[in-house]
Amino acid sequence: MSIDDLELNIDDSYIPLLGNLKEEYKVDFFLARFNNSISTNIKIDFGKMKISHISQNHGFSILVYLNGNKGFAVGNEISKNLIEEKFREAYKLAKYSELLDSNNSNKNMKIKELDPIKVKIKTPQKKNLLDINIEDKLKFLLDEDKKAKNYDKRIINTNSIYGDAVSKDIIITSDKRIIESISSLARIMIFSYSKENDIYESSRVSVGITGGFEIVDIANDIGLKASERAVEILSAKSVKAGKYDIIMDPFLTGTFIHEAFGHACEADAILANESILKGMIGKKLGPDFINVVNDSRLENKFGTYFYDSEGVESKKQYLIKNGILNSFLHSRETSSKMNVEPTGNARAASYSDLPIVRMSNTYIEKGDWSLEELIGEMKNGLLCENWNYGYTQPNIGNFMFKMERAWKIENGEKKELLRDAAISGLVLDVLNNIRAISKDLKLDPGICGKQGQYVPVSAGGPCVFIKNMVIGGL
Amino acid sequence: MKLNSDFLDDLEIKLTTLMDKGAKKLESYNEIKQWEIFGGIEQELNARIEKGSVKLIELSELNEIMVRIFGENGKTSSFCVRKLDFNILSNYIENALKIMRSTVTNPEFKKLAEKKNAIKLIEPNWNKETANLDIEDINPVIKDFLNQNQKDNRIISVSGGISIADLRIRTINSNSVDVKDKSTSCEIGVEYTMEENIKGIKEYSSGSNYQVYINWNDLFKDYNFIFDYALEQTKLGLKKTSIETKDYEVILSPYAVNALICKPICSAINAELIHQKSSFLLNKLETQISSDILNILDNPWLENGISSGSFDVEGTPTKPLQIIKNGVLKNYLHNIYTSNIFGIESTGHATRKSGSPIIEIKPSNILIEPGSKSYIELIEEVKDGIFFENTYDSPNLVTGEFSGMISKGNIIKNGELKESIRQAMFGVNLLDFYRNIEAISKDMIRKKDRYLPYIKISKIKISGNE
Repeated sequence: MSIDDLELNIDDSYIPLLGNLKEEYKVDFFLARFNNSISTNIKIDFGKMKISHISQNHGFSILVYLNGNKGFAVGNEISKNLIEEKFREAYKLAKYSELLDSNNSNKNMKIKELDPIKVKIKTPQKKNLLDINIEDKLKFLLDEDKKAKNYDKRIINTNSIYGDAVSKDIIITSDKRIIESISSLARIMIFSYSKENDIYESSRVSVGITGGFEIVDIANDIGLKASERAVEILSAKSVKAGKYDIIMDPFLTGTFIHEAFGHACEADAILANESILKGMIGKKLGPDFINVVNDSRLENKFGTYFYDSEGVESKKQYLIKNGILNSFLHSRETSSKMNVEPTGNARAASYSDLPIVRMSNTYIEKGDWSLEELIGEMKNGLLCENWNYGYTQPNIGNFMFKMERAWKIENGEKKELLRDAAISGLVLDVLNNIRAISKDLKLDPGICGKQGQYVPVSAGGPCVFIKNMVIGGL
Repeated sequence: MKLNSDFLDDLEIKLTTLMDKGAKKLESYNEIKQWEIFGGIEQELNARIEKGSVKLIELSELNEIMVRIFGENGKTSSFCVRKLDFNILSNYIENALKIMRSTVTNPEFKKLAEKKNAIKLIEPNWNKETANLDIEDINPVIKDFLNQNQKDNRIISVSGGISIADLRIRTINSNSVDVKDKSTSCEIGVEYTMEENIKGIKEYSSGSNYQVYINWNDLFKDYNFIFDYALEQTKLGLKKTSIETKDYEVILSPYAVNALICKPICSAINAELIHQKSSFLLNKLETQISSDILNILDNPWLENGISSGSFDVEGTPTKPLQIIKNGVLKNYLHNIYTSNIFGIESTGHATRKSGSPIIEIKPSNILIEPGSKSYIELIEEVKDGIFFENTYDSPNLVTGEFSGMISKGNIIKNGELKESIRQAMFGVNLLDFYRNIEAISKDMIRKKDRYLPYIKISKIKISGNE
């Protein structure tokens, strides 16, 4: 595969073509997105080949706004005829929404125009993914799988996964924003499963970047790390349910701030009355030392991008500044409705999906405590590490996250290892109960799902000391 | 603007021709010992509602060809293309061959599905009227959707949508398997959010419901019930109260039965997890894993079942399979790969997600055998307990330990449903939990392809926030 395989064959004549269609159908705004992408997936289970897969996506979509109503149509071949057909289809769907929903409160909404721009942009890759043979990708994964497999005789299985994608996109909007981009990302994950007597455990370690095959430079030995953790947790005891003071490690902090708080900051949830943060801009949510950031431009992070799926520049956005709710995340539609600037957070998982408000790299800024100092402050509590999964209800503000493991802390000292614990609570209570944060900041890659669309993100922060958390256990 | 089955019929002919040409090309390589081509085409009409307005109406098509090739000793490679174009397919076959050469072996893979006649030919879950649904036909339901927020002045948000699809699939392989299927589906989902000011404090509650049908007319007859159920659940979620931490008698709603019984068991009997020694039901065949009143059947032949079919996606014929009989675990679910490993016949449970190379294992229609009492009788028997409506959590399938949050539940006092509970967590070992199944209701609710009763559990430890 080469970069030539990603050719879109879109020339400058497509710009007046789309402009003419806008005039013909008298739509208020259009967004045309063209995409050609190639992805590679490899999976090895305990030394055995499971999957070596290449996938190619190719197509375009047209989104139009007409009197506040949207129409969206997708084409699987790129040709001028099909673009005309799909533009007409998108117009008809928007018109149909208008007829159906005559009381639509958005009918006077117009997408606010931005300054015209024409840019070409490329994700920097030190080792170009399309230049690397699949043999090299396979060899690296096999080595890591082997390290995981051979770590200890109590390791009974491994799942090792490599994935990368290179994507060429062209965005053309009716306010003449023309963005041509080549983006690339890679992720490696190792799951290790361990057994001793009748106890089964597992652990997962993953790395993910926007960039190229240089991912292997930071993924070295992740197989070893996954198995080390999977074996270590075999000796853990179950947590007793109850209320504890806790310290969340950077990865659990990331899950909390992304799932429990970040989703509630997405302006589509605010507009739909589905977020407890509605009407709270300017309100104090936590102590002064808490700053929560969504930064789409962090170098090489898994959620990084420079222009969103609507052709808007991405940026660093403070969601909480000095403990006060500062801003929400916006698409062009939500920012137009709320009369604020767009924040470049409209993302679509593929050309055939509608861009919706999403996070990118979300984290709590670091403080000035060391982890040892935080532990030293704790009389009877838990140091909670990593997470297995979590969910939240932004409309109610509650959340639940299953952590991978926890250490019991007694009188400022780390004691035994515990497992199968879950934290739950109400996000606004928890933010208020933060007492201190550490000076070490880490972000973890992940895939975030919303409305059936899955996009790469990262989330993290420092270690966070929280009073009085409800912990579920056995 | 409409779904158009004639258009899809024409596209199906194009897909069939292309798959046959691809098969010929694959046959021309000696190195390729076995191959499989899966083709799928779909047309979908979606309407999404948000905050009482039409958010989006969308008509889309999806084409996909997925090819898996195997060389000596299970060396394998696969690819997926979306364009129905022989040149592209041909290039990818050549590329896949190069990749296959560089992969490592997997002696556990031996053979793809072999040609066998279906034990029973199930009529396709396809309805012509639904496959030609005009956007005008869904008008009344959308209009009712838009009016939902007038049902109660505490409602602050109503979201959801309708999705109607016509899907055609075909699988062919080097063992002369050639099977195809077509289906229509109509899905509806709704979520309400309510706000109420109780003693100066704003309380929020949300409730949702969804259902899937084969025919649009069935959805049309039923959709008000879907709305009403979700609304009732939302109302029940207001006026929350904290509870103390202790053991409670519990009545599981059908949603909770799905989350705590159906989903964990159906996931843990996946033979891939058994092979990976990652299931709490490993080595549990023919052993008692629950109270003896529990019976679960997987029935791919169920008339009008959402997941009924004669073959799975690998071309293996399906048949009904007892999962649990009188509390004893009877079977694991297999695809071709796991059946190769275990040296048995596949049970016909292979499935795949769009665009994914992974052949997964999934049950068909799952039926829990009903009991003799009504769910009202079950509730009336409880003096001091919890009605457990739902949890969004999942268990640790390796250990069978399940701790999570009761996302919705109510106190039961002297046989009556009372206030909803706030922030309560539960923690159980699933095998202990299944042994505590005390009664099963005769009332059943269908959720997509699962037929679920209410179930009484003698005790669960629940951690409250009191």
